[in-house]
Amino acid sequence: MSDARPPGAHGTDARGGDALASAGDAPPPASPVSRPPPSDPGQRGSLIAAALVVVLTVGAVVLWGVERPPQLAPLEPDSEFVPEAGVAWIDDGDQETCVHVARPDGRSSELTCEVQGSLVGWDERGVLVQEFVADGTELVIIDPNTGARETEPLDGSVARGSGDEVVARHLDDDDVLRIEDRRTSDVQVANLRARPAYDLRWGEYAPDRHGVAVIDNADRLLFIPVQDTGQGSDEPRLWVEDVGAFDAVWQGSAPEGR
Amino acid sequence: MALYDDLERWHAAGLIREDQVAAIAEHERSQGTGDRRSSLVEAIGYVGAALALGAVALFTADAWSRFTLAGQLALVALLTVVVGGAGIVASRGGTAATRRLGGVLLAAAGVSAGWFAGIVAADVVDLGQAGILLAVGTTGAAVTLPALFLRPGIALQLIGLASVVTVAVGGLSLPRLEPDQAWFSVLAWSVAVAWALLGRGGLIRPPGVAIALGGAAALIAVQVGTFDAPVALLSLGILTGAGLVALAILDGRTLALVVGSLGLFVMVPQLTFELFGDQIGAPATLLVIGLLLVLLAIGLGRARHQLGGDGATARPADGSSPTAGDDGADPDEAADGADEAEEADRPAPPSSSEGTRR
Repeated sequence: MSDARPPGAHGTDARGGDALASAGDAPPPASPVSRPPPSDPGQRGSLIAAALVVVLTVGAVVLWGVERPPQLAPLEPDSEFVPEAGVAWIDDGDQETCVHVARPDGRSSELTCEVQGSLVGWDERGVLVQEFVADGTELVIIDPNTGARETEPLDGSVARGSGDEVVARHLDDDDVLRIEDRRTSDVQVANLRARPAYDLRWGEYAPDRHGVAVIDNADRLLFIPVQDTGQGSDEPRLWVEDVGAFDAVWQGSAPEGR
Repeated sequence: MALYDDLERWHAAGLIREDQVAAIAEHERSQGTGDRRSSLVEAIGYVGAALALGAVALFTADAWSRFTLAGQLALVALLTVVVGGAGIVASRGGTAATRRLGGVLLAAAGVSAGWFAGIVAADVVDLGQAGILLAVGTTGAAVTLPALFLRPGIALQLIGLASVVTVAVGGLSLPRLEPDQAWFSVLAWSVAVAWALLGRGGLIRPPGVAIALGGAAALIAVQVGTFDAPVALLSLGILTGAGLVALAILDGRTLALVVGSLGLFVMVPQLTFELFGDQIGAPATLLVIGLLLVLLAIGLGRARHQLGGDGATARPADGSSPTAGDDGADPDEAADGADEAEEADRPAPPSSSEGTRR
């Protein structure tokens, strides 16, 4: 070897300096060591190992991690098992807070997105939302047909009326979710085949106790027809999807004290 | 220094002359000094840029809500194009510092592109959380991963890995019934481990950064999910940490050793408490940590022996030559911040004589 310069250097560079002195800044000279081909066993092995880790993990997640909510038939407006009143809820979406209603015929609509409070009832005047304003509180009354809103001042605050709630619990057999009257576990509203991840967020009897509305953690509003005893009389039906709410109010439920 | 040991060996083998030994040694000494000065200057530059960007971000945050949607999109798109273009130009620059800056700018372009996709997904298409995550992650990955293969660097690896994890998390958020947090952690762990494995194979460069970054991300992912499934995930974390330490000793990678050791120190006491509660208490935990320290010392000792002693034995255990795929002869790789520390610990890149000896 007669030349101390690294292979590929060709005398002075464009700036006139010595190639060796500026080697740290110039693009690297051609290396005398040939790079391993893409089919290098180490690279193949690492690629296979990485793929195995990801595939096995995804498989485990799909098999054991992802659960589906129970598949339910939709509400049939012409059947005997239909709600006799509507349900209202507030959808706390990412961008806006909107009031929605679901009607007995299965239709749902968005009433208004100009609310900043909490639902407290739905009486003959309309859907009731309590809002906190600078001067105190006011009651917003929203027409369920047009979405028009009017306000009336409140002296203090009001609480939502306490309806007859239902609760859900997984039985020892983990694939069964039992919905029952909160006051007594003897009154069973429904049994659903569902994995442990499935649960309810809210459930309440209608004011006339002819049905139960529930919101599950799959973001669905369901209706369960019940007998006079409160026991379920048919399978739960899917009323509305993507409700985005954690509770709701039945039509005909007044705030406490009103 | 390992290089000087190699120079002596090559001279003794008759491969290079004495004047060549002196010339190479002198060159490397002057490079080191120059590199330290330029690294300081570069670091100051990055700190200054970070402060300036922080000020711009504060101003923008205040004014952001006053922009229309079209204005927001136009602003972010412009930012992406400008930063990305500057990154491409800088990546082809004449100095190592410029090329490193190019990598950082390309990473920033990936972030900006993800931001743009997020605005579109949230405000234009009105997707849910899962859709937004998928849009942001996919776009970020689409920008950073190709750039990573063209211009390896720490910043691009960081944003690239974060983008892929975001895609994974977004995908798992699609089902109506969201899985437990533990499953998100496991999925993120698998992506991070895959990243580290690809780095070890030389497919993601610099490999030392890929292994350390992937390992750290895997440990963090596991730690986040321990609330839901503490024993399972802590056990997984300990296996991961032990694997990192073992790999570090095998390959002579200091960063991986640090990350793996930290993971073990954080997770072993937690698992001990989960399994035994107050039954064995603090003394037992201290005993476990003490034993870990002993093992670490043994491991460090072996690693130092491998790194600083016989360079001929210090090669990756998998038989491949990641240092060859590591662009060990590339000044860019040698000058990269974190990987420079790795390279200082590792034996000199193989020369033709090294290849002959293999």
